[in-house]
Amino acid sequence: MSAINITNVTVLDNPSMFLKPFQFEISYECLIPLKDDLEWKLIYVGSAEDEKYDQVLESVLVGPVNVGNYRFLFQADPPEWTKIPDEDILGVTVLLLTCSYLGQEFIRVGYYVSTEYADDSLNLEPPAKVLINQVRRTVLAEKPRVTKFPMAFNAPLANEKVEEDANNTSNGSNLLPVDAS
Amino acid sequence: MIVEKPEWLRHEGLQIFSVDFQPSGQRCATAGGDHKVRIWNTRPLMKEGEADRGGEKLLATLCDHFGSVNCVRWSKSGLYVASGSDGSLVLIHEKRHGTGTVEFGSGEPANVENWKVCASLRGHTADVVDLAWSPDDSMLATCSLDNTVRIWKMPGGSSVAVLTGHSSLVKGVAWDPIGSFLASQSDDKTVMIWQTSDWAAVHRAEGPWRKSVGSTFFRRLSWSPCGHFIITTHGYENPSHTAQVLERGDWSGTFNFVGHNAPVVAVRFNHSMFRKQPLPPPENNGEEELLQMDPKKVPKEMVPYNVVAMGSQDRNITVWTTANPRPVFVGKHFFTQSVVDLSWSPDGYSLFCCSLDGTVASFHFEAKELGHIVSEKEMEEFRRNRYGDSRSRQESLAESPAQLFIEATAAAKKVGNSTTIVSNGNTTSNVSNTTVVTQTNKQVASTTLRPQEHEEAGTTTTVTTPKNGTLEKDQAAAVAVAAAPLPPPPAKQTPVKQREYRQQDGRRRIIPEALHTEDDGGRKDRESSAEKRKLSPVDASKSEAPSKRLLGSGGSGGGGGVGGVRERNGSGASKAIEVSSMERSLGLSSTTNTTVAINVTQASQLRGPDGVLSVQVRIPDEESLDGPAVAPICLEAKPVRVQDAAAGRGETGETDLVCSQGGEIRWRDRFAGKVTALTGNTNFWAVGCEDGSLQVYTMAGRRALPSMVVGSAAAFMDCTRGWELLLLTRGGTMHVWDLRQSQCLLNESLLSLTLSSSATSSAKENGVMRIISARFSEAGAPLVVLANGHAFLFHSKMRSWLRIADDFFPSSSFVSTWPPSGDGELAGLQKGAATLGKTNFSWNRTLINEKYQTRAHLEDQLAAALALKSAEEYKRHLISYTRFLTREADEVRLRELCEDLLGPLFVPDSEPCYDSQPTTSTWESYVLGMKKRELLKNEVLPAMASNRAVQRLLNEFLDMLSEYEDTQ
Repeated sequence: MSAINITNVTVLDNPSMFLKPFQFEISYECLIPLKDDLEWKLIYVGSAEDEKYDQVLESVLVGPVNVGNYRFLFQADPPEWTKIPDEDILGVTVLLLTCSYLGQEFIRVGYYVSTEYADDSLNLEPPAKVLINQVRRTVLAEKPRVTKFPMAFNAPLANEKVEEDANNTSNGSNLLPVDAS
Repeated sequence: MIVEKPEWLRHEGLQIFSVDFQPSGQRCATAGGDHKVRIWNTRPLMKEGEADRGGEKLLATLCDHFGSVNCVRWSKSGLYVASGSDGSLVLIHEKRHGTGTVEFGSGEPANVENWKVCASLRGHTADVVDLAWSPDDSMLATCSLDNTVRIWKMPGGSSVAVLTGHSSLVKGVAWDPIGSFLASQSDDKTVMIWQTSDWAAVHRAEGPWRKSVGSTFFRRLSWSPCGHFIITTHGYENPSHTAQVLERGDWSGTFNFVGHNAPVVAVRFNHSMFRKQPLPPPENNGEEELLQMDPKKVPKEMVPYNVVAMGSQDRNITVWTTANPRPVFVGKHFFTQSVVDLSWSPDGYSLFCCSLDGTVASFHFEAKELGHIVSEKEMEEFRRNRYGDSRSRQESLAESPAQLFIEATAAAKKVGNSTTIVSNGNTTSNVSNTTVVTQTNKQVASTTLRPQEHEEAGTTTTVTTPKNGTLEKDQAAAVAVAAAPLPPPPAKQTPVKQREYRQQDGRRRIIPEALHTEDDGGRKDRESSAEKRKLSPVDASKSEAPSKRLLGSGGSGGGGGVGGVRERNGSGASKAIEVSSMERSLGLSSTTNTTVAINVTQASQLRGPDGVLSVQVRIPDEESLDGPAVAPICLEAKPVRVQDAAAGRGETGETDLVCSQGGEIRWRDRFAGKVTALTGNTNFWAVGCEDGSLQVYTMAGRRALPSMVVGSAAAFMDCTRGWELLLLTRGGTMHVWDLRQSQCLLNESLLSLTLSSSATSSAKENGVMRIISARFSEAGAPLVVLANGHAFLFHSKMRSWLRIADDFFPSSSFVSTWPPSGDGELAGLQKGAATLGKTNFSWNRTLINEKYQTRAHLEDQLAAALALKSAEEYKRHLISYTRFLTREADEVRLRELCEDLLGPLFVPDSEPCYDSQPTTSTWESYVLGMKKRELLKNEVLPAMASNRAVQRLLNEFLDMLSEYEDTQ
């Protein structure tokens, strides 16, 4: 069971110019109170060819995580276009909105994004050098692709355990049989 | 008969693995290969529902599974839907208030009804294939490809038992309608019968399945409503596939159903029995008479029979009655692939079948085809005549007026101390919860919803008790209001009211805006969160965290998104530092544990800035009642300093001993050697030196004894109010003397402690055991606290160390570093252990773990309180322990506990004891100054009233108590 369900994501200011920030209004429900914050990330896939062009536009912590319905505005800077291969600036790419808890991603929303010139005449005859100021992006907001990953929210997590062992030498509890049944 | 294949009842065209009717008949649930469970309105599917076919058909789609959902079953109450899927997950869903929501990104239309997961049962290690609710809904059985059947307590979801016995994939489970047995069928070609009283396997049937070939998805067996037959699946008897029948009792296979051309995959009995003729209106002979009559005398048309449906891999469905060797109905060509599940409607005349081809077919029969249904009342009667009253087995009824009376008094008591540490308490949490609910509901309902109220409603979900809660809420609300302007309650297009700041590490953190839809105010929501809170009391204290974070986060930068938990750890840590400044080390040679080497570290830590050790004694005297309080007497040990021009400042190695009262020096002494420990009371002073000598002075400063030589320097000294002196040397030897009698009471090495696990975990520097304190407990027994907080008490009679505080029960519901669970001595020690142990409490817990650890922990606590002679705490833990055992209905332990408190009925000396071991006379009627029988009567028995499952035990002891009182 997932402790967190996304109930809605609204893409604000869409379509918009390429250099404007992204804005998402994210609503979620929480079914179990969680100890730590949720981490939301927005990743712009610069090039379908290579993951190294992925840019994490923003990462933000959201909390406290208590039972109920919540929403927040997630703002992120546009991608650094200079780091995107020229041939990939225009066309269709993907924007990933992920949520993780204690470093483990459990939900991922993918959006197709199309980037093109706002001016159709430029689209017909694209200039040799990309005129980034003229580029407009459109997030296909009505077609999100949601992927969930199984996660035991209240079970001890591997990474947490390591951390605990590292700074706690007097962990006598490890000596107990864990499961008496 | 009408057959229908609703085209709209689909799982995206993928396989449908399971279908089940809600017992009320309103809804039915299907589970499929699209990883979803769907809940359908059955009205459009039924014969009489043709009129309103326009209604909503799909009520909800539940998308919480991560793999194909293999099985879905409604609880008998119709409130819960359990589903099991690939990937070992079992989920329990419940319907909550309000309308359903859209599953974001699923592409599904919005759910009409608001079904939400209320529990996830984890434990299986492979795909879950079949599951079944117990007849009274108190348990759920699930079976899995990990070869086990698991039993879960419902609705909480704690694990009751794991049935291991099958040697291959388990593919079907069925409960006995009487509730005494569970049957499971496996790919190991056996059927096993388990008894529900102790979950032992009572029978392993190896019938005609042995010859079965091929593999089927499921082996869904079924138990007849009369409780007498089990029909199993996937049998083979040359030349045909069969469904073997097992009979209750000897579980032998007597006959079978023959006819399918491929293995039978699923079997489902109709919920009710049928008979050929409708029952004539009751005349002189009532229905009961008829059933009780010898079956041979009952006219043939009147004998009730079972109706059973079978689905097979040959894509056909057959319906049989147990009165006829030939099927009543054979359905061919309805499906293109194997039929895998069947469900009868509650009225008994409709059958739903689902198939791997992704379709569901419904068959509506008539009375002339199946017969006339036997009424539920009659079925009850029938089962009762055969198996006895099922109500007595469930034990949910109070069996005596005394039970009711005690329950009432206990409930009243509980409400009174609802804030005590005692967890459990269904009643308490419910009481407090309902008040909260009414509050918030009011707020939600009020139309002029001011933002303040809105915030409040948003935060109340975390409130534990109304009293504390309001304070927290107000704080939270106040902050939130101060931060946010006053827009109307959130509608879709309002700006998001969130607060944002940057943490010290430069990351942005957002405190989201709390929304509340109708379902938020729902009672269920709260109940389930209360449930969770009950499971882990630590969470309850966590609920304070949000408000604190809101307050503190802005200024301090939040300290990372950890909130309350780490904040508290912080305060715990500061305490630890405080403590460790007094900590001393005992050296232990790490190579051989048998010899204790001397290893001095940081001996001067206790000293003041000038290296002065001091101890104060306040004299309790009678005269001070009127006059001004007498100043305490102070004994100081100052190293003698020499002001030497050549060597600068230096210490001579001598020590000045000054005893003063209110600035007035009473006596002084000087001797060679550094003083390492001091103690004193109104009877004597004791001074321990670095060279291992010990000097005892009288109150007036006379040397009472020659210097005692104890071998190594004193690390800790303590004394009682009387004449006992405790000394722990750096060599790790503990001495206790009675100075008046000039007698050694104890000379014990701490070696035994150093080998225990708690010492090894505390030994941070190799071989050095760090000790925080060594002193007398309040009851006068030697007590040693290690650096990790583990505390040991020396039992003088048993001459051994008892560990009374540790951090070995991180999963116990009763462990908590905060708030201090009481003011007792034991609580203080254990709090220390818990804080210093730094175990991550809320996070390591699993349900099973929690149960065992809680019990063990409580037992430990009880024993420790007894050892410490802390009467108040003993009583408190005794009550907690009783409540816990009662909740778990652990009769064996409860009985032993009560027997110990009750003792032998007759006063020991009234009967001559011929036994060499007079067991009766060893019983003490007092424990820690409290009369055991009073404890039993006033504390333990009322606590036992909370669970009627143990009421017989309760009554038994009530009787014995009153008998005992009569003899007095």
